[in-house]
Amino acid sequence: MNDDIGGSGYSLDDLSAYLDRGRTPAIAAIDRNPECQALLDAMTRFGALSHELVDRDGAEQPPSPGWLDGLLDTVAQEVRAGRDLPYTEGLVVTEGAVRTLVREAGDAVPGALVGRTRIREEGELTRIEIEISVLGDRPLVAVGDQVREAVADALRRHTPLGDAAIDVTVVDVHLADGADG
Amino acid sequence: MSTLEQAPDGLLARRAADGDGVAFGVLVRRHAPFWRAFALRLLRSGSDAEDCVQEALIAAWEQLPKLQDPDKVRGWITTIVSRKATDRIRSRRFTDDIDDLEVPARDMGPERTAVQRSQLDALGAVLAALPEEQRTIWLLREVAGESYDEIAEHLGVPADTVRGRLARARKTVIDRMKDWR
Repeated sequence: MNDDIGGSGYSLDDLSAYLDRGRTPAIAAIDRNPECQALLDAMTRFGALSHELVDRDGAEQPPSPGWLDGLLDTVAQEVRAGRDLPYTEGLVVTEGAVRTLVREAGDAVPGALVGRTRIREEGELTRIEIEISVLGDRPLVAVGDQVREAVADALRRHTPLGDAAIDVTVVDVHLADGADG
Repeated sequence: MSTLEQAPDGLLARRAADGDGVAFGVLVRRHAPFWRAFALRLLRSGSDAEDCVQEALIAAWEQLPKLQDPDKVRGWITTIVSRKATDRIRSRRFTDDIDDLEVPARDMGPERTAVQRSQLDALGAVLAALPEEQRTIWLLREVAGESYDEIAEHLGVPADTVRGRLARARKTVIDRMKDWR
């Protein structure tokens, strides 16, 4: 393993470590040596192919649907309800329930997907901050306004939070064919 | 209407961190084939791989609110899978001899040429034939993208040992794959 690659004065061990340091600081004796370059290229290529190999394994030998369903059931039993938000006499709404309502109302607007939501108490005022992603070809401002109206309407109808301040921020744009993988 | 299946990973991760089990389910269905295949390459036992992915996903669900960059959720969960898998490898090292390697199916996918396919098959065979200690390090480095220090911590060996074993694995892979260079 302490062989001298192409007269560079460096061994395969050295090249391997050099590659994993991101080839910095640059070593001219390696960077200008064709045999070293060929080995570094091969290491890089077979590394990337390993990732591709695992991707292919997964596509060709997918997990059984039964296993996935059972797994998600197990996780679902641990869903976080979040803190309680106390309102008027005897009425308590969990933060988790409000978030679910906000997401459902926002997702129902064509071209919108709700991301992160935050509920803040500012003295008497409740402020709800909503991040959304908008489908590529939709007008951002119009979709944002529709989400704000849909959420306000849902809160008025189903919670005591009808006068909450609602901030909608477009943080992302997504494509119709989905998934960034 | 946009559906969660169209949502990028980061949006699903942010919702899951807010307690949205449905978004987590979409994320899991999208990437579970990869995680299971990765665990299978590490552990070489289908039931161990599935148990390991399940443990990793339950841990991920609990830790999601602390994830700094939700856009990198796939890699983050891959690292949790590798930690769970290496825990198993370490605990079974002296107790039993797992030898039920499940070779992925070989049916021809339409999107790849026969040459690409045979190259991946060859690499898969070479990796499977590596000594376990080298194969594990190769997979953690090349598939999970972990640093020497991270791998050293997972495996409980010095970083220098990681560097040496990875170099040996690379030498073997390059030698045995020389027809494909």
